[in-house]
Amino acid sequence: MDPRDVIIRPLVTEESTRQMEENKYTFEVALKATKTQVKRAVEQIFGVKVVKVNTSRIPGKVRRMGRFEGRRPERKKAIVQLAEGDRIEIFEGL
Amino acid sequence: MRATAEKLENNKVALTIEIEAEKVDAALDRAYRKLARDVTIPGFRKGRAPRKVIEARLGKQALYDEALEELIPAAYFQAIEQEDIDPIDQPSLTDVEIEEGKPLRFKAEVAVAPEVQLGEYKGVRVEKLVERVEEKDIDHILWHLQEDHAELVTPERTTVQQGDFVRIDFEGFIDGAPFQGGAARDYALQVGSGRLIQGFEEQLVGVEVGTETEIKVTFPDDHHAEELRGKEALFKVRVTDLKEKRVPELDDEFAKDVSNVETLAELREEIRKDMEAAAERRATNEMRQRLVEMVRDQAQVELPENLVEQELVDLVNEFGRDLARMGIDPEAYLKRSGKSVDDLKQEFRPEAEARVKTELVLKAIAKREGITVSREEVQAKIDELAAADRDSEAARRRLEEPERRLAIRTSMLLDKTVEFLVEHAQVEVKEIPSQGHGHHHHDHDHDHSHDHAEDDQEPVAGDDPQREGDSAIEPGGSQGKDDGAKE
Repeated sequence: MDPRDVIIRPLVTEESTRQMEENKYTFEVALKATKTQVKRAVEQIFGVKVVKVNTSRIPGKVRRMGRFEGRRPERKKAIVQLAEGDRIEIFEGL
Repeated sequence: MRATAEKLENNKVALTIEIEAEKVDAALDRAYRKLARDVTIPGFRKGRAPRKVIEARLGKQALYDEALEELIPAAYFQAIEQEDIDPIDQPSLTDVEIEEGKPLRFKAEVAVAPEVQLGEYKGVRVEKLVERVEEKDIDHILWHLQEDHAELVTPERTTVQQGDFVRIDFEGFIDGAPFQGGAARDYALQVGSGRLIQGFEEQLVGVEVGTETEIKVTFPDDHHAEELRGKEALFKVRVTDLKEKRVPELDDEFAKDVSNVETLAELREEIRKDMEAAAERRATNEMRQRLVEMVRDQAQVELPENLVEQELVDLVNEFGRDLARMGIDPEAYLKRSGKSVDDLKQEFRPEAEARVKTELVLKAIAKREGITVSREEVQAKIDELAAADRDSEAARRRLEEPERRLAIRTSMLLDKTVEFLVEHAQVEVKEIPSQGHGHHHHDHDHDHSHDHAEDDQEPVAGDDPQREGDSAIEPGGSQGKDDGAKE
C-alpha cells in the first residue's frame, strides 16, 4: 500500500492539539491500514521516527433523511507517538 | 510608548510613535482571545482553538488589525498629551509597522491650531456692573409675598366693591330675547379685572348680594361675536357669592409666617442678601463674558474651516434638541419656516466663529502663560463626575475613554485660563441702578415662590362650570382671561 493512501488527513481537534504536547499526532488513516503500515507511512512522508501507534475505529454516525435511515462511513484514526525531538510541521496551524 | 513630534507646514504636526514590543505582544494576545471567542472551528469548542489555528484560519492580519484598534488610539492620545499638541482634526495614519515580537511604529499627521496673534490680555480694564439693590426692589418682593399669601374672605358688608371676587348668575336679552352665550350660572369674576365687556363690571359695584339687578350695556364695535356688535343688551344679574381679597399686613407676624426669621426687618435683610448675592453672581458672569470677548476681539487668528464646520454642526444639533424640548419637531420646524439646514448654518455662522475663536485664543494664552491641567486634576474631575452619576461605574468607563478625557481636559484648561484673565484684569466695580422689576422672577432663589401672573385668578378658578364655554360678554372671546387687574 502506498504511504499516501494509508494516511488520509491529519485530525486537528482540541484533544489532538493537547496530545501534541506529548509529541503524539493524530491522523485519519485508511480503514484497512495496520499499525505497521501507519508507522512506515508516517516515517516515510514526514521523515520522523515513530515509537508507537494506537489505532481505533470510529463508527459512522446514524443519520436520517425522512424515513430513510443511513449511516456515515466508518473511519479509522491512528495516534502516533514520535521519538523525542521529532516534530511534524504541517500540524502547526491547521 | 515613545513619541517625537515634528512641525510641518500648514499648521500640521507629524508624530512618530513607537510602542514597546511587550505591549504589542500583550495586545496581540488579547486580540487572539477576542477573535477566538467569535469563530467556530471544527474540532474545537468556541474560544478553545489555539492561537496557531486561529491565525491559520483568519490570517495574521486579522489579529494585527484587532490589536491596532486598541493600541493606536491609546498611544496617539498619550502622545498628544505628552507632546502638548492640540489637534483640531482627526489624524491621518501612515507607515504602520506591526509585527509580533517587535515594537509597533507608526506616524500620525494631524492639523493643529493655527498661530494666534494675541492682543492685550493681561491687565485689561473691565467694568463689573453690580446692580444696586434698592428699598423699592425689596418692597416689590414683599409685595409679591403679600399677594401670594392673600386670602379670600367674606367681608362684613354685603355690597359689591371694586376688586371683589364674586360669583354671579346672569341672563342677557337683546330686544327682549335671550341670545347665544348671554347666560351663565355661578360665573367667577374679579370686579374691575376687565374680563367682561366695558360697563358690565362697573355696574356691579354697589349691588347687594342675593338681589337681582339689571345691567345695561352696549356691545363694542370690535366685539368678537359679529352679530352682537353695537347691540344694546339687558342683563339680569344676581350676585351669589362675595369675597374680598385680604392681603396680610406687613409686620413681624407676616415675616414669621412666610420665612424662618422673627421680624420684618430681618426678612427685609434676608431678601436684600439674596438679591445682592444674585446681583453679584450676575455681575461676575457678565463681566467674565465681556472680558473674554474683549480679549478675543483683540486677537487675530485664521479660523480653520473644519473647526467652524464642526461647531456649526454642534450648534444646529443643539438647536434641534432645544426645539424638541419645547415640543417642536425639528423637521416640522424646517418645513414651516422654509429653511434648510444650510440656512440655519448660515445663521449660526457668526456664533460658531466666535466660539471657535474664543477657544483658540484662550488656548494660546494658556500655552503662553504655562497654564496646564495635570493628569491628577483630570482624574479628580472624572472621579467627581462619575460620583455624581447614578451608575458611577458605567459613567467612569465612558469618561475614561481617551477622547472624553481630552474633552474634559480641554474644558478645564479653558476654565482655568478664564480664571487667569479675571485675576489679571483691572476690574472696576461699578454700581448700577437695579434693572427694573422683571428680573427677580428668574434670578433670585430664596424659597418663597411667587409668580403672581398665575396666582391672580386662582382663588376663583377651579369648580367653575361656566368657564369652559366662551361667554359672549367677554370682550376677546377666550383671550382676555389672563389680563390681570394689577400693575
